Amino acid sequence: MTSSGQTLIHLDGVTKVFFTDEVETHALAGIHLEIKSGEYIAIAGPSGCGKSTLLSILGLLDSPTEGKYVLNGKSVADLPLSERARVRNREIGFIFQSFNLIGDLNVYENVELPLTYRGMKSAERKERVMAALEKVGMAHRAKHLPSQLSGGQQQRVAVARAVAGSPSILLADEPTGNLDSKNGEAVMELLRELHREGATICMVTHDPRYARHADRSIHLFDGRVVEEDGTGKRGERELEESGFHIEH
Amino acid sequence: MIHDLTYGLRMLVRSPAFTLVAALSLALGIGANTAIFSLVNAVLLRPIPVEQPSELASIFMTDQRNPGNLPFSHLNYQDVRDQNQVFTETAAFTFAQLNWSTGNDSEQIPAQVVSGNYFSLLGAQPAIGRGFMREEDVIPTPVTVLSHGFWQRSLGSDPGIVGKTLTFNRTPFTVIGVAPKGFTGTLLGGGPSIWVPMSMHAVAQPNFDWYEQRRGLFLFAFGRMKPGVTLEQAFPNDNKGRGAGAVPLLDARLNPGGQGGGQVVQISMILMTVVGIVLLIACVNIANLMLARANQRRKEIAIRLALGAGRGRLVRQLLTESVLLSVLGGALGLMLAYWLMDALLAADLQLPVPVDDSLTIDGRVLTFTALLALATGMLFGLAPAIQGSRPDVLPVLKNETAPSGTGRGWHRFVSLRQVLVVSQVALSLISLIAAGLFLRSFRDAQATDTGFETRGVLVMDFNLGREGYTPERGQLFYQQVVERVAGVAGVQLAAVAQNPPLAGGLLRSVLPEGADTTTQDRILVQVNSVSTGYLDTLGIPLLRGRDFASTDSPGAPLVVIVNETMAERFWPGQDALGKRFKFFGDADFTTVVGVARNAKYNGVAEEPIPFIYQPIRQNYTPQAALHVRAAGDAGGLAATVRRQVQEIDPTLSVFDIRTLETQVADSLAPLRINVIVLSTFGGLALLLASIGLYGVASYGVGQRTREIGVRMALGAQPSNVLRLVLGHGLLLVAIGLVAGVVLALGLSTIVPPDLLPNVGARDPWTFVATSALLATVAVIASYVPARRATRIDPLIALRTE
Repeated sequence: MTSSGQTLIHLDGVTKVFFTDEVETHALAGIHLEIKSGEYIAIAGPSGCGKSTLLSILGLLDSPTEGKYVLNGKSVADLPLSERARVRNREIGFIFQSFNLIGDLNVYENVELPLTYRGMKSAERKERVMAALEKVGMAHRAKHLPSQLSGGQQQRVAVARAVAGSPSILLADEPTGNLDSKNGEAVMELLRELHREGATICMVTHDPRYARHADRSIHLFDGRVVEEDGTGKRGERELEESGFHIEH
Repeated sequence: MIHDLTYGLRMLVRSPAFTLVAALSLALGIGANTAIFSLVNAVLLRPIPVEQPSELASIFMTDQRNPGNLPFSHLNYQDVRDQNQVFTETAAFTFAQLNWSTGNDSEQIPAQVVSGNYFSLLGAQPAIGRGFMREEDVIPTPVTVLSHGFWQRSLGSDPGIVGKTLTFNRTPFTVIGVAPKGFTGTLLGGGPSIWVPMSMHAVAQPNFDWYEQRRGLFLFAFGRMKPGVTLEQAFPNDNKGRGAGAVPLLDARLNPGGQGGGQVVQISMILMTVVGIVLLIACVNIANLMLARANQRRKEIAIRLALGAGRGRLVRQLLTESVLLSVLGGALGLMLAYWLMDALLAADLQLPVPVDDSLTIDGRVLTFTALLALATGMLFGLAPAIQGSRPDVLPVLKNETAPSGTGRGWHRFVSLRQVLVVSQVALSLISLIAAGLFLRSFRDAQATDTGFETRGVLVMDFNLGREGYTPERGQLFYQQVVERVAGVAGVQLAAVAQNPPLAGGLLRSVLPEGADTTTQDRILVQVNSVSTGYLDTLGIPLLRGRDFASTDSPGAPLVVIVNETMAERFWPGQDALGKRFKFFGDADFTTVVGVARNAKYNGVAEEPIPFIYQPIRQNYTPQAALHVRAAGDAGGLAATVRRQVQEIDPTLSVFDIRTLETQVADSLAPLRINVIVLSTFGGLALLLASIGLYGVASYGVGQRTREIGVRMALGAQPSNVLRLVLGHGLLLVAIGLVAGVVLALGLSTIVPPDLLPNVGARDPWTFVATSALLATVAVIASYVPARRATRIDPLIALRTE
């Protein structure tokens, strides 16, 4: 599915500077970015280029040093902590590289967790949790603990947790980084399917094979956007330069 | 082993903060235990310095009508002494207070009146001089043996004391010896200052005419068993429904009544239990610290395992560190114990048994402390050592953190740390409940209406018998002293009585007129002989009838005033006024002329008991207390009143001048000591438990940083995180409280009811209040780490691996 054209995220001149006693590190330098609703974006670039910092700012886990961040028409750059938590809970779904499931909670409870913070009634939570688990094919494992699942299964549960609250955007940080290629491919297929169903996805990856799944790739280098590829062609080119064969 | 010790020392030095906290916690626990054990050692465990103490048995009388082990009458003792087939020899003693005159001054000293073979039977060889000889028991001979403490304290350890004379009850006694150091007789406690032979009982116990009557039970006897004789053998000397029995002398010291242990033993047990609990809590704290430390050392242990170390070898190494720590804690604890014991003596707590000379750290105490330290090290070190020595080698070597929820079986739901916290809370609650119960009992006792007015009353004792007064001269003295003192400016009323308030009275059998006088209607009632105006002076309301008058004199009809309980119990539904009864042994009837309000007679916590006041003019007693009601400050009148008394008789010894308020407060001393000691240890337990809870909550937050970060990334508000951490801590506390309450209820069944008067060992308010206190402290202890958890930066937390 392609974007519906409505602007979901707007970053304008976003910078992020980390200060230490002796050094100022410019992690992001004047990022301008627009993500439309229903779009699937990949953020790529070498290690240390600022991909994760950008994703943290997009996910309201961090705030920019300067610049504007508008999410769903509302400026969110300088929200207080509790409001940021509320926006994170309702507007954003996170998928982490290391799954970040809570070991003491079973699959059902892990998926239910963001909904409990929303104060949703139990019956509605149950409906949404089961729907999300059905969607990722993990409903039959609802009572299992994370430690009883494979890595691929854990990431599918993490995806279910991210989508259960019907957020405005899914932020995926190297979602295949801890998976073998087969499981990685399965998770990417799951994301594609979610995208086809209308989800807006922003994925950080340094694997060009997965970047090509996106509608658009943004390449960062030293905290700046150095290239935007609207068709994902650059990803394919990089893949070919790496010796892989791309079928057209 | 040397390698383990060296490495253990190095590890302790490398973590000075951990070592300091752990050693200090242990020092508190071991120090408290050592100090209290020293006290128990001094009071209960120190052997009597006599020959073959296991051959000695305490002999007592039993009576179907009166429970317990009773002393003998003099005549019955003689029968036992002469007719028994069980002992090679028997000896006896009784108690007396003697006036020791020193120039113009005099002092009242405790004495024992003993049979002539007392020292020889015990095999207690005097330090100087000799003991009594048999003929000194038959022919009245004014000789005395001094206690070692009295000789040191009061006579400056005079090496030439033997042969000198000391004046007791206005009679010169020749000192023939000084008892061996540490010998205080066969009973617990400080013992007498002097011993005098029984042949001198008329001087030592003037006006005490019970030596030739079988009803006077005042002699405590013991004997040395014949070879091959056991205590199980039947005792042959029956005497009109009365029997005799024997228990080992060493047991009798601890259990003088033979009915389940004296109060000293009970209090000692409670104190040892509470300090034991404090030490257990300290151990739990350190076990938690060790667990946290073992977790930090997972990599080191994994490397050792990877290099081929056996699990037993690793456990040994970790245990060596624990024991080193406990030895350090034990050494510090020993120093603390010295300080605590000095503080205990300096506080002058008026313990039921004096311990000043004997409260030392001897070999037994040192052994106790050493064993305690070693056991403590094993106790807090074993579980962490076993758990710490089994990490999953590969993940640890790959720097992977152990995810939560990966345990097997019950470990998935319950960690050792959680079990320790629950135990700690339960133990703390038990010690707090113990302190709370005694505190409540003490406050109840303080607030109790004694039935008499304590403010503004001065009391002083004298014994006319020891001063050689005849009954006639004594009666005259009582009349003069009351009249004279009542005329002193600032004095409202004055009266004399045989016993001051809370000192009880003489027990006499009462036979109501018309009742069956042979068995069941013969009831023992306490009696106090008082002068006219005694009830007014003490502020005891006379409910009906009249006070004693000058006409209630010898030869006049015998009269008494009874209290409400006596009136209701003896003549239920009737007016007691005019009713008559006989005291056992009296020929004439006594008539009730007044009913007084109930008061407390033996202690502020006692239940109402029947009580009789007799006019002192009809029932002379040489021992009496003068009671003076002042218009203002009673204490300020002491010197004036004493002067007035000595103007009547300049040589009369007046003792123990005190206000009635002081006397009542002193009667609560044992309870107050329990409150002070148990509150101190209860507070210590609470402090240790709160440190433990804080540590566990902090550790939990540290362990769950990443999880909390995930939750915050998913939209958890700070309040959600606060609830999560607090909820987890409080759940453990709640389980601990329930366990503590259940354990305390279980323990309450073994607490004798008289130990906690008015309150009992299951007082619901105390249980609720102490649980609430502990829960509050637990909330505060958990709140600080919980608050810190709300400030976790999810971004940083998510980066943590």
